[in-house]
Amino acid sequence: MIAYKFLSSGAIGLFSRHAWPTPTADAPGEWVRVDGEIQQCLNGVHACAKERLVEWLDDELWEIELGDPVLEADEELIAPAGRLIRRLERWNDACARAFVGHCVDNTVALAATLLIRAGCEDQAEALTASRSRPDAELKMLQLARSLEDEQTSPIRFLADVARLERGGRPELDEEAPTSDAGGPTPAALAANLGYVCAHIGAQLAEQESAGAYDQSFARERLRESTWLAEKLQLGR
Amino acid sequence: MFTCRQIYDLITEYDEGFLKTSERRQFESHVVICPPCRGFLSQMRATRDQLGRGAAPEFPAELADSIISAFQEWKSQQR
Amino acid sequence: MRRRSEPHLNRDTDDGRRYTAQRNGKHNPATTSSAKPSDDRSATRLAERELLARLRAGDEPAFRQLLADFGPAMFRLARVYASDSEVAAEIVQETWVAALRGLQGFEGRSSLRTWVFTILANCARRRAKMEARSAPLSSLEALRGEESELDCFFTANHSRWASCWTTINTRWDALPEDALTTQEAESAMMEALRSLPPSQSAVIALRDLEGLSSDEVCSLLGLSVGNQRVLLHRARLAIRRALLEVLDDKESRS
Repeated sequence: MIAYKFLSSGAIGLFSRHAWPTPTADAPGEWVRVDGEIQQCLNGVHACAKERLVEWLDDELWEIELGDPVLEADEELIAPAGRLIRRLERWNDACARAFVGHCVDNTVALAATLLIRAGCEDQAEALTASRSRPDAELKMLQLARSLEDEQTSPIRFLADVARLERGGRPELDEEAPTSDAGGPTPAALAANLGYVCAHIGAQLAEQESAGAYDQSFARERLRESTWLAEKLQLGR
Repeated sequence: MFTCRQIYDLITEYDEGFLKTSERRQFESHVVICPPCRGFLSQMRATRDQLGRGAAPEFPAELADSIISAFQEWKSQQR
Repeated sequence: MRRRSEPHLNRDTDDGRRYTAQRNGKHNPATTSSAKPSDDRSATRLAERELLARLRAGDEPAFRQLLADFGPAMFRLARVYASDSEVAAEIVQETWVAALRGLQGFEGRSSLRTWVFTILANCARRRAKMEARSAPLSSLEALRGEESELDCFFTANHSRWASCWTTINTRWDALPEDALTTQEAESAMMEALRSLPPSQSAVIALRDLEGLSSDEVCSLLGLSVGNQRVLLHRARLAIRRALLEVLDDKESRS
């Protein structure tokens, strides 16, 4: 079975810290095998299907061949053996940033829709306009203050997202750092903001209809993965 | 989904293999989407690696000698 | 040494297979990177019986070998307990004298290493009592460190970031190679180890400095599994904090 595997820089497993043998020009990477019973999260080669990409984002994306029998858990696939087939180069820093941009755009649009429905057309327009501004965070904060429940509003949350996108931490006084030192890799940030945006979207859904959070969240994550799979032109 | 605080509290249980599968799943899902927790995980591992790598203090030669003497004395008392 | 599959040599478990499961099943392989590789229990047991016999017979080369094998680890451990090398040396000396005295009576219910290290732990503790170590004070320091760390999290009732980190937490696996191996980092680490409450320093020294297994340390120190884990957890966090300070200082200076 062919599946997908994200690894940290240097083809290293995020949790296992296992250094994966990489393919050469002529051949796939060597088989990595585990002994003993396959157990999710404990023992086995882990990979994901393309519907779950966004839940496992990391620096490098690889196509992986899994040995039988493959255990299909909710979010991942676990097998007794696997080998890396090829690196999917389209997943890179630029793609990660594009993914973040897309998620934020989507969430801003959702929030704007909600504002319109609540009769706040002006704020909806201001929100949409703020998105592409360099001082997006500031504008969003101002906007949040003009609304009721400024602290809990999704606009406030989006202001945090704008700060995170720049490499900062929410609510901290100092300027967001401009250097990369210590900040997350673009892939790690993509993993983070993909999640946060889906979360904000689900909260918006919950505001509209109690109990809608879970389904909205799951749907949004699937949508994100689908978007990414298409962007990466993943075949199967 | 765990919080960062839970990751902080549970990291040793995670590393020691004492979390149930479902908890392990939640732990890992959180870390994947949380840059500070990724950092924290790597810091804890680097700390452990560093401890394991720490330069062993020089075993003093005189100490080795005096222990051997103790052995020889003990041995002679055995007879 | 030829492998023997004689489960009866395995005193701690009646079933060799179960022992393997305990060793391998629970652990994510890479996270035990600092632990020594698991021995083949049967072969080790056999080797130990032979060694014991030779020691009891007064075989000096056998003893020298044992000293070479255990000595450095014992000294390192004693150094964690003791305030200086001299005291550490005395602890190690006392330990060996006691071990030799008890050699004939040693029944082999635990491994030789466990037994010797137990004697060491007892010697060190006896000495600590004699020197009236201010254990309460180090507990207080440890507590202060732990409490200050909680400032690094948003509160549980924050509207958006409940219980999240407020700090960035840089990845230390991305650091330049020698960032943690400087003299400064090494001293900070040793100092932090020495400042730990004795119960915590014993556990972390045996687990992470010496690579003993969780089971070995529990039996050595007479701790429950849960208890040992809590002590280890707090100790590791404290060492991390100490290294964090060293790295933070560096960054603010550069």
